[in-house]
Amino acid sequence: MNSTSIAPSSSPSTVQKQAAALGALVHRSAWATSNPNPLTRLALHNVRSAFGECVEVVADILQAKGGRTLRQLLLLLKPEMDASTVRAALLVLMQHSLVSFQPSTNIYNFHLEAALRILRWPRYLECTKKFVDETAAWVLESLMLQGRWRTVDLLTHVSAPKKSDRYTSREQVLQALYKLVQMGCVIPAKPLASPLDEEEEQELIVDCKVTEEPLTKRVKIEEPFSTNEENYEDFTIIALLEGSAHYKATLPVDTVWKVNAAYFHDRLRANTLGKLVHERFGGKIPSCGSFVQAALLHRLTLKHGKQHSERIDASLFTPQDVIQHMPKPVLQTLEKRSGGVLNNLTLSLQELSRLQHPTVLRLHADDLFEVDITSLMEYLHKRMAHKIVCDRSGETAGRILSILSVLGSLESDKIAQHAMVPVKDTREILHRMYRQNYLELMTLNRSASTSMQHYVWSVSEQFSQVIVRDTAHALYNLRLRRQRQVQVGKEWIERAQRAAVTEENDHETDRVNYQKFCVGLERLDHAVLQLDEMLMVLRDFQLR
Amino acid sequence: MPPTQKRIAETAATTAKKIKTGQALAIPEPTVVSSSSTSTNTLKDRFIALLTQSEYATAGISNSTLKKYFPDEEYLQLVPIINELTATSRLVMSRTAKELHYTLVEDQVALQFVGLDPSARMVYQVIERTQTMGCWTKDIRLQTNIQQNALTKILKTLESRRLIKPVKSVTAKSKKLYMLYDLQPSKELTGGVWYSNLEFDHEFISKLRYFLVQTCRKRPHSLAELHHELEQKEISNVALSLEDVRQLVQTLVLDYSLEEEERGPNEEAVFGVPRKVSVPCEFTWWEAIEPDFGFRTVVFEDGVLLAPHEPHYQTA
Repeated sequence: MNSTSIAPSSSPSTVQKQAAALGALVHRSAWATSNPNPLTRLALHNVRSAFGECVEVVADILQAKGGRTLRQLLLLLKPEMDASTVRAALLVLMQHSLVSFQPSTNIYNFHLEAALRILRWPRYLECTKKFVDETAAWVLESLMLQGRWRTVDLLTHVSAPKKSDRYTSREQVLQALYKLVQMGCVIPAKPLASPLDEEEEQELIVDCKVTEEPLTKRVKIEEPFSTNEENYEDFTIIALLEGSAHYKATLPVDTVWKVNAAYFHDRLRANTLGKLVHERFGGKIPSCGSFVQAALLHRLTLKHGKQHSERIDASLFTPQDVIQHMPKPVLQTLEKRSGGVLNNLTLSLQELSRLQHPTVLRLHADDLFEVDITSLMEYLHKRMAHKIVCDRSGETAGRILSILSVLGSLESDKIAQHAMVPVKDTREILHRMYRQNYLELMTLNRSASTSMQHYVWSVSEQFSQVIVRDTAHALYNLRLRRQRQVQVGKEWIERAQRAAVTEENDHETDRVNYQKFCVGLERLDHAVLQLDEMLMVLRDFQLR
Repeated sequence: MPPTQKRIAETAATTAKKIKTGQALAIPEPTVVSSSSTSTNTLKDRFIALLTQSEYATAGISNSTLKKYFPDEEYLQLVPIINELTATSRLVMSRTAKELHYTLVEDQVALQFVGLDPSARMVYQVIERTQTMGCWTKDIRLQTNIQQNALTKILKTLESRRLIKPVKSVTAKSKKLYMLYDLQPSKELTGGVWYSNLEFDHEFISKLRYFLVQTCRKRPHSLAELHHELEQKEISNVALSLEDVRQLVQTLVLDYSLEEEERGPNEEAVFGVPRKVSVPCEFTWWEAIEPDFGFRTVVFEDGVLLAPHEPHYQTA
């Protein structure tokens, strides 16, 4: 990220008043203003960007009010939206697994985590391109955009020639989908319960006082979301599916598929932890990062894929288990050494299990190991927190955080002594970190006299949650800023597009301004990706 | 005003004795020409000789022990001798929980106290109690109840006699502390080796840290080896103790610039430079958290600008 300078605005109180008077560019609905949680605001902003304002309003209510029935939603949204719009919004949300329906209670519940993951779709696609191929990424992209799809419809859509310039045969698409299902990237979706069963429909018709509609007017029942007009039953695809035994077993025609986000998080976690181990211990044990990544990929396969482990605890592995997941150059290096691949690998793993800070592997038997994911993740979180605090408040603040994390509660004089910083400077930093909610201050009274009070500092219990909230907050603000930049630069975009058509409209200044505008947008996008990655590591990577 | 004493002609022997013991500058003691004067001097000599013995030289002699050496009448005759020695600051009395102790003061030291009035001695005692921590002027005034003007004069007198000296503290540079002349101020006042001229020497510490990291980069070193390297290379003008080096190394470990490498249980810990670890945390625009981020101009190094948002004004 290029270094930047961000000029402070003129007068904070004036600015805050101006912020309060903002109009359309600030994401705002009747419900959003009441929720101060940045994660919630970010999730709802994602929904709005992806699906539009109506869908966002419905999601907002469900999130703010908890589970609600359709009738309750209609009552709440009566002046703003009619029944058909609300139903359509609900169906969109359900299609994308952002909302689930409980048939027993007729309640719709909003899933915040799924909404936060919308920003991560490009990352999943990039990951798929690397470990499978581009066709698989394309299949995945189509599935993400649609939310969920039947086998036949998905294959038909992706292999339709008019959808891209690139020719993709039905066999290639089928093979790609097969791989994705085998690996566990794509999983069958539970059937959606009927959003409006007959009983509820009757209630809506009869209970006109609730809906304030005349008795004769019926609520229009729309058909559940179905495949688009361009989809048709491609008999070639059906024939391909039913013609092959393994396709028939794995890809039933009418199965509805959706993206398995947990798989991608585990996969990305394997990459991240492999890289961490390589950077930390690569000098002592060559290719140790690859060993750990292979072990985690093996575990991933057992958890999400079609492979099953004979052991009760699927987190345990032997050197033989991970060989299939290791990169070829690493295997070749192990082969060249005397003893063979298996022997060298076992010795390396045993050596890796003896390393500390963090603990990488646990040795259960001679050749039975387990990756200590908890230790690795805690170490990663600790280093990230240290970097964030250093970036926000300076190197000394990072050092103070380390001191308090190791030594617990201390007075400011002791902290200054350990940090080798003057007491006055230490107190300023401590108070700044306190305002940022990183630290807590306890008062210990030895006697009733205030002069005998001792002030003791410690790391806040909510510290990790504060870091996550700050990250979400920054991400939300950047998204809003980007939205605004696009609106401001709309004119340049249009002029650039016109200039592409004819040379008459090509103007040097316009071109330069447009390039600068694009660079600015690109940097905002880059910052958003960085923050999203941080959020993923801090929140979505499981600790076990 | 001290009581006037009858001055009696001194004999040559008395004068010589006084010069020898440094009493020439003292108020001449009344020489009573009587048969008991010789015995008094002998008693005094015996008393002084007793107090100069090694077992009583530093801690002094207790009243009960004194009675053993000087029983009955002799003990009573000691009283004027004790008073005389106290008046000339040659004897210091202190009280423990149980009884009085008498300690003899050296001649040269006693000379410094000659002519000091009780207020000055009181001020001196207050300052003496604080040892290496020193005492603020305000605290002296509160404890002695002496007015500021008089106190200032007393402090000047004591300073001129090299009994006390002013020092400054790093925590309060504008205030003056007084302490005994021969004592070194404590680390709490001076700040220790990391302060020079009462200012925290950031540059000095950075230089030391950089040196330690470069040394450990070549190969891991133990604390003792690092200490030795610092001494050999003469990086520092002031002598650094092993504890100072440990403190420096600890800050480097907390900053992840150094790490302690594991050795056997009986081996000394060594410190090396760890491999660089990149965490998925490259974002640095933390101003984005501020509520007015949208109204701030973002300027990149290459001149690209993200203009601030214009507020919307409602017009009629």
